[in-house]
Amino acid sequence: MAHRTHMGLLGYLAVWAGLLVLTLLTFGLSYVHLGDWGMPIALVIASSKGLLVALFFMHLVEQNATNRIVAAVGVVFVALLLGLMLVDTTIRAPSEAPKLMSTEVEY
Amino acid sequence: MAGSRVAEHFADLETQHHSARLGMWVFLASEVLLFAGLFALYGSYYSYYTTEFHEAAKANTIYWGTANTFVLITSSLTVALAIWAIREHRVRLSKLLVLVTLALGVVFLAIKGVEYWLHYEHGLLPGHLFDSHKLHGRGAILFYTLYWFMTFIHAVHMTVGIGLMSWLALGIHRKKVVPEHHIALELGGMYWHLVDIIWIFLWPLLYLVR
Repeated sequence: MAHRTHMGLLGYLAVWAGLLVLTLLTFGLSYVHLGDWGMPIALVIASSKGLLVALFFMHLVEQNATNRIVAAVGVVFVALLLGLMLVDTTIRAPSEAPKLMSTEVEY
Repeated sequence: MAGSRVAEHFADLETQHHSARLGMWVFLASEVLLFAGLFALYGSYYSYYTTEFHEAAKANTIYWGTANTFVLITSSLTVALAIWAIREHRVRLSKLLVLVTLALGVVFLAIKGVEYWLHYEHGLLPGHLFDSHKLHGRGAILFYTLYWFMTFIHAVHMTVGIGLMSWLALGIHRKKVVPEHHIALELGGMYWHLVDIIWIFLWPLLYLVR
């Protein structure tokens, strides 16, 4: 750990403050009628918070580049999973929405 | 954690620590994919039952859920500061911060317990146990089934994290986790942060979609 610069106390507190602000922002925006944009905006804010935690609290900024690549690849795979699954389900014709199995009861 | 002895196959201690962090990141990526499966399930059903999901989320315990978000974000701060403290050779402060992190984790689980109790009282239960007066229909049932599964698996991870923090606090106390060799604290902290990040995504999807 000799040559890496570590974040100081103020840095950690600043990141924490940023996370609190973003949390309040998401909370406030949930009361505003954003229509279809509500979910994507909430996810963008959540991703920003996740990025702050990963880069600074988990020290990804000061670790080896390899670790950043591993983390990024993880995100890419999640994006693939979610993205392709949503492409599948959203372009299905309505008649192909999940139907009840014969053993299920309609509530 | 055998003192600061370098294992045979590593050139030096620093390389050993780099390897530990890389291994931890690979493990965390696998944990993320575990939850990603559940998020994908949520995403699919959300696209079918968008209105019903919005209605169902309105009945959720938003103030408790939001409080838990603040609790977890603060606990991430305290565990990050525990690492900062031990690097600054402030060992007692580090141990205290680990214990505070642990306590905040317990607070999180306590609040979760309160929420689960409230959900039980209102019949907002998973699958065929669902029995609400206000909400009806498949969308609502799916929402709360997903809610219970996702938050429960998250809570299990939280419990593991609390166990880790107990072990680390003990390690600092017994001088096995020290300023010169605290990789265990770093790895435990990384796990804790991941549990926080997962909640950061769970919270808007389960409480704020209205």
